[in-house]
Amino acid sequence: MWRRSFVMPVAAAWLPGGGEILAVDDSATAELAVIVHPKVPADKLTAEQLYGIFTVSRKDWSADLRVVVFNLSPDDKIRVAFDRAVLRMEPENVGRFWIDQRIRGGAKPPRYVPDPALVVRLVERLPGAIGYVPAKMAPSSVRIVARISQNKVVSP
Amino acid sequence: MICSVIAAALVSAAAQVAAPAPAVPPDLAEVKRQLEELRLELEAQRAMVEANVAAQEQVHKEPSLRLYGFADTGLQKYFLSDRSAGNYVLPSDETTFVLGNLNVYMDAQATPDWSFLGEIRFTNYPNLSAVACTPGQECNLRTTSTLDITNPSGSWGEIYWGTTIIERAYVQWRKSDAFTLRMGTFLTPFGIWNLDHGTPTLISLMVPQFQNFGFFPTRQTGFEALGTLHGDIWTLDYVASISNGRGPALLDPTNDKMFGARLVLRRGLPFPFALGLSGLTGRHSDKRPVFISELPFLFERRETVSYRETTVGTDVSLDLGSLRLRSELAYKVYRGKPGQRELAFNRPYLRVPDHDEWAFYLLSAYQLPWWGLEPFVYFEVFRYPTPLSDGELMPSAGLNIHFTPAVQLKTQYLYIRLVNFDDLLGDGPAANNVHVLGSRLVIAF
Repeated sequence: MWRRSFVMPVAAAWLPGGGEILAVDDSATAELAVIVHPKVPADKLTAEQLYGIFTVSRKDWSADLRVVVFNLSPDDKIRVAFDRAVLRMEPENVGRFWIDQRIRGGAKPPRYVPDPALVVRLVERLPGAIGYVPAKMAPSSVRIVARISQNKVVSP
Repeated sequence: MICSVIAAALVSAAAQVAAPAPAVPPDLAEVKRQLEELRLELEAQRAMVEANVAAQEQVHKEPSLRLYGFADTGLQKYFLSDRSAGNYVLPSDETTFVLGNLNVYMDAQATPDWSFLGEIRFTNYPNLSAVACTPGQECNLRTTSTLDITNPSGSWGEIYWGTTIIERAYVQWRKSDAFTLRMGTFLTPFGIWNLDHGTPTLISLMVPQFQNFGFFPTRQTGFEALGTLHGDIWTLDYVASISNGRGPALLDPTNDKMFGARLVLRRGLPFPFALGLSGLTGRHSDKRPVFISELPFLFERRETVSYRETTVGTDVSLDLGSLRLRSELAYKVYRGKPGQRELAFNRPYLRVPDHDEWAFYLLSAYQLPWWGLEPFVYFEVFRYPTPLSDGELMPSAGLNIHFTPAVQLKTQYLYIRLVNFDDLLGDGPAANNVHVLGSRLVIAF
């Protein structure tokens, strides 16, 4: 019994995402699409590239096109699923990550918008924009550069 | 720009509202759909304008200044022997409350390319610091005690004025990910701790002793070039700096500059890992004006202190799920100029000899799945030859409690054991060993 009550939480904490990676699993987050404006010079993005973009380490698509990242609200379950899959962080770790960046004088967090429909509209119109939405919401006017499925980044 | 776009959208919305009502009563669901469409449109317009503010040139019309920072306060206790040298630098070894840091950042984005970051620490210094000691007599302590003479109730109240420390203040121009320039006062890019810098970010409460003892200057005034080069998996950060070097960062008394560089190879997945290399070299000098004669009225500047220092270091950071590991190894070569060596312990008869210093530490912290608890252990060895000892061994342990991402309680116990390396297990200079218990309630805001 003690193994279940003690060992399991400890083992879970060792896993990226604290071992709760399956906690969010409904139709909205079952598959996410990472979408970019059609002018973005990338057909697909790897997990490492997404990590760099969404931690604002990578700020340029090219010499004359900057990355404009749109996030969802920190408590949005789509955002939570995305952060677990791409950043390998729980919401609390994400909060600490951005506080650490601020204290170091580093990058500022991406701006966030309240709902995925708005992300679609922004990405459609703003050159350099990137965001993520439930896959079924991604219109043909944007380019899908990666998908998040079963907590993994996969090719579009 | 924001106003005009929003106004245009509102006019458009108003025009639709003002349109003649249809003959057939509208379906309520359809009206709701149209309203939702309009709301999305308005929010999209607003968000696009904000995004453009960060990406286009009209920023200079709407400069933004952000204020944020951190503060910490707590309780601490030093355990010193009655005749420890620590009694000179520590005004109290009793259990005492402490206001540690009150740091405010000023972050301004003047244009998409130009920005400014300033960080000011407010303190009650220099009160209680020792200034001069004569054997057999009490040391003098600095005080800023004064009467509050503008107090309308009468000037009888005693106040202690404090000072500010400019932690950093620089203007930055960003060309691209690969190239950014900074000019001003910046934190020396050396190792992990100096850039992590603040109590909300540092894992342990107490910084490594080698950094505490000025292994390298905490901050410098000069020029930095930095950037990030992205590979498919790895990322390489670089910083190159030229500065006045050590000192109060006002002016450089000589033309010799300090040069520094740092490279960090890192990746974020599958787990955050970074390997850093740092280096600094420069000549430190202190010049004092000398009054030569009254007639003619003549002064000259004379160099009183001169030494060259070269410091290199390597560091590793690794986060494996809830486990955080940090380690550094650093080496410093110190060579003074005969006749111009700096004073040791501020004693006129003690001069710092040529010597090498080195330091190593390993820190391991583990985030438990309960109540934000994060215990950590730390061990440091620091070769720092002084008349007291060859160096120090420092085992330590602590517990951080993360209440929220922005609020945490940090506690730590540290044992500083002065040693002679040829007699590690002997009693050695035990009179100067120190035990420290510290805690800080930390908030980032």
